[in-house]
Amino acid sequence: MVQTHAIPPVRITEAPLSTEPLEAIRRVIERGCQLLDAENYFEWLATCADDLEYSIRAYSPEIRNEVTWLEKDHKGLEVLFKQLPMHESYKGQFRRILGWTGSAGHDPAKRIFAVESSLCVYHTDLHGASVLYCTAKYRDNFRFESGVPVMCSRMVLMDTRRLPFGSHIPI
Amino acid sequence: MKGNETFYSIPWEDLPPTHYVDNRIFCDQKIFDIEQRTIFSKVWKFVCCESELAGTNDFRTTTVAGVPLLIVRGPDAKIRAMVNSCSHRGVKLVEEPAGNARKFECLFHRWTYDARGRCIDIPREEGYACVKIDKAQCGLKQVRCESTRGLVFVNLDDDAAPLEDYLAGCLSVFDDVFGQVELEVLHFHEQVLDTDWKHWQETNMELYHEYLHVLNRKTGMIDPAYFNRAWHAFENGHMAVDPLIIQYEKMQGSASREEQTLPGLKPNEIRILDIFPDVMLNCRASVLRIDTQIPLAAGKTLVQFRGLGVKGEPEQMRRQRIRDHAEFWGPFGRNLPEDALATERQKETMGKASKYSLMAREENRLTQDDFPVREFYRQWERLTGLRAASASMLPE
Repeated sequence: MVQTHAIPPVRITEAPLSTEPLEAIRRVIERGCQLLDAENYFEWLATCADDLEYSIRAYSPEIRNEVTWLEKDHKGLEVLFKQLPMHESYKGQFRRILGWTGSAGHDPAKRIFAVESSLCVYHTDLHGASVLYCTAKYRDNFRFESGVPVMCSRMVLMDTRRLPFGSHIPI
Repeated sequence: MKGNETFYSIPWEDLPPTHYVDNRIFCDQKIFDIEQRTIFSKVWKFVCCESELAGTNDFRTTTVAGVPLLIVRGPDAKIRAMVNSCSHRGVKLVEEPAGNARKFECLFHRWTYDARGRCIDIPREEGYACVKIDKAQCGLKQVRCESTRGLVFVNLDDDAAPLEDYLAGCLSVFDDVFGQVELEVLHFHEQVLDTDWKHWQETNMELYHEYLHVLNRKTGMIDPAYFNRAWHAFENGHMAVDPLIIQYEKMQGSASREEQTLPGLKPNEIRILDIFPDVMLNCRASVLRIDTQIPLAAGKTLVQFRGLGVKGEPEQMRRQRIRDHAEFWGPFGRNLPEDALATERQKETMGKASKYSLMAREENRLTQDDFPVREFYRQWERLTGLRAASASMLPE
């Protein structure tokens, strides 16, 4: 099988991430969910690194391989957000519910901290009916810049493979 | 109503009956059942690609006209289709969408079948001696299965003409691609759409709807050549339109696909083929998309979306092809959610607020002519015995 991972796996060290950096990263992820829920896409992008790599992936048992549903760098996301008003979209409100966040490793050489978080996303339509849109995991890489965690990559790993509807908006 | 102004006065009764359809055909469950019986149980139905069954004992499961099927590449390398139902008491044998198995064991009473569908074990088989039933009679019902160009088709009708007769040469539209490289599936996803299967197929046929997509408006419809592409009808309702060169670079964020255009195509070429009743092949230069459907009920369908690339290609090329596919056709792609949105918004009014749908564009069978959808419904009428314009039986 041809490997399609855009983001190399983080080297796992012996020592897990200590509480303080993990909590700081968790707060950034939460803030990111708030901004995305509020559709403040540019503000969310501004919290990410300039070399951000973003992708949405799933494992397809039908073809027994990983599939990529979206893959964009920082510039690509910027263009997408600018062009969103040009597209026809399902209307309503997404609500991201973050579950647990745990350390997935630390690469001291590259000063990258990897975390995973569980996620449920709900959608409420214009008539007030809510549905579970998807469950997924965020697999994020962060580095600290001037003491502030900055996300340099996000891989959204979807559990849900049959979405209620398609979307142009990153999860 | 007296006193009200009238702005809606389409003269339906004056139109040729080929130029509109009665919208009850999209929401009437009786008509859906007729379609399942007269179309989906009788035609050659695309079910998967050979690359999804690459290895010995690889299998896929699917459903055609309500019949669950198991498609297996046996130890003799032959691909077979069989009914995915235990011969004993009908338990669905295999739930997984895909996998690899030398045998299939029913969870209920442990009747077991091999990869060719032969029954190889019945626990305490002697219990059936009184009625002289044994394993040899209890294999899985075989279903007609043929492949062409790496595409696997099945037919529930044992008396149907061969696959190539049914296709009537339509796949020749892509022979300069299929003939040069071996393709494999690099993307798969499904979506249940709250729309009738025919509405999805219409969207894949009629190009007038490209006004829906900003990417198409900016990279395709800006070219005068866009409007001068001829539609070609094959026997049995299949349709193809002349190709076009897309100017991807005209949309910010979009880039030319020249370097990764599939062999056999011109750089940045788009090429489309619709195979009756529910399949579309759409090649946007670097990646081939195949849609196929499993109609679930009147006004509800499961669409399977596949993206194909070149087997064994270098990783970098594969990654670019995957990005190209996701850009337009992934669940978060630019176009696919828009197509689904539009067709789902049709459903609520079908047969109620909206009695008829207009299919009356005539432009010398060029790009945005409704010729392909009219031809689709002529084939639909031939098989169902119904008249699309009145949702009633055709006169004898």
